[in-house]
Amino acid sequence: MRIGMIDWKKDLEILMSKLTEGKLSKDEEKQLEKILRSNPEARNYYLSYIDVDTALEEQIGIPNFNIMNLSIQETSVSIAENKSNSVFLGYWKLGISVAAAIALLLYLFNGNPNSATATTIKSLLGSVKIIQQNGNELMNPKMGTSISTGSTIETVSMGSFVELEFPDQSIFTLSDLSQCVILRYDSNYRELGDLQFYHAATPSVEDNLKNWAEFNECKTLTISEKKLNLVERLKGNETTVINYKNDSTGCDVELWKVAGGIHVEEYSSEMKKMMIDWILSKKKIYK
Amino acid sequence: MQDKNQPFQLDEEFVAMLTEAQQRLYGFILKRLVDHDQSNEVLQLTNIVLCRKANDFKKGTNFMAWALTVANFQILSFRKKQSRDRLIFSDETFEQIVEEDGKRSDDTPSRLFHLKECLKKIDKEDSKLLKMRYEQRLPFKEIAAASHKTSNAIRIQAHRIHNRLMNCVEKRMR
Repeated sequence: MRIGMIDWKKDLEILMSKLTEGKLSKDEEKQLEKILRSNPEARNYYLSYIDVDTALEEQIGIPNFNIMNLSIQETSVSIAENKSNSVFLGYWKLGISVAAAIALLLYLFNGNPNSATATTIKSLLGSVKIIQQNGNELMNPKMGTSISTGSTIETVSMGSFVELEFPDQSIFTLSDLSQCVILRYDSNYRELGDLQFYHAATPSVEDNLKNWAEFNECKTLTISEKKLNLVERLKGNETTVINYKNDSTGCDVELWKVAGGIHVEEYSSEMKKMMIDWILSKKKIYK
Repeated sequence: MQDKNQPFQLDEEFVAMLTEAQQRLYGFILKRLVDHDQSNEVLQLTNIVLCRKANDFKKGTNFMAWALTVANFQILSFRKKQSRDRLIFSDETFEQIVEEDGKRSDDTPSRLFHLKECLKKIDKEDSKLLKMRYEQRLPFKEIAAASHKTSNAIRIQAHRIHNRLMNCVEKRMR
């Protein structure tokens, strides 16, 4: 009896690890069902495991918008479509608006920092204090300021916000009253204080868009410079629209890129309407 | 209920509650469906219904309870529409999971509170692993490469952390 209990627990532990990674095979799914069907204790373990996993996502994780991205994957256009599909437009609307918002929030463009620089200030709001390794304060830090290894960065007021960009274009954010030390940077690691970050090959927003376009066979690229006015504080049309289209399949993939945009932006009152109108003008393709 | 052909009219408070609920909704659905793709699909459908019914939600009432009820209907409807071989849980197991999870749902806020406390006891190395796993969303293979360990060693370490946290939460809740 005891051995049996240990056996299911061992198996279930392996299965749960794979489940949370999304790597359960068909056979393993069957094995999971079998263990849970026959054993209330196993069900309790299963539920607790997912509870802890979900709670860790809530506590540590950054909101996961893969769900929203999935909407984009399924989103494309079909000319002939019946009215019952309109419910999907809603699904889309939420999906794409969040995905587009994320793209807009995350997308920041700047020149490449030079190779000797550990990191560069990508955007800045409020006050930030930078003490270099030699103890001297780096005066007037602003967007584009290079920061060398060993410097300490400190946001000195509530509401302050600084984004640091690393040579591989990854971003680290510091906000309100916080501090970090840039210990080192190489092509595989960046080390901030006692935190090490391993650089996974994460595609840029534009590469991501290109991937979606290729996936959906959207072949025609149109770049409309300064087409939209989305941000209150920036005068005129600051947003470039990058669009991949294929009229024969109806597919349509688009990125709105804010020149001079920062992480947290005040968008114009028209922005939401423009986004929703864009989404609602599309329909869903069924493959 | 909003007109299907009209754009949603969602106030900021509703959007904030919906955004905050995403992870818990996902966990709720995943427990019942197991499969991540299916869970994403049902979560999306749940989001649509919640947006469409935003006007039905009475401010000051329990948003999460309402959202979970909607998710529950979406799961049942999804299961009905799927062929048997796409579903991982049999009806019997599904009902058992629903019943047992139903008894736990009310505890979620206190589970979160206790987890926060338990996380304070995690040592530096484990905390680093959790950050890589949940903040950076790295697969075990990449965490292993970054930590100069094997994937299996990382998987075992993650397990131990998970078990320790589970035990700690359960112990504090007794």
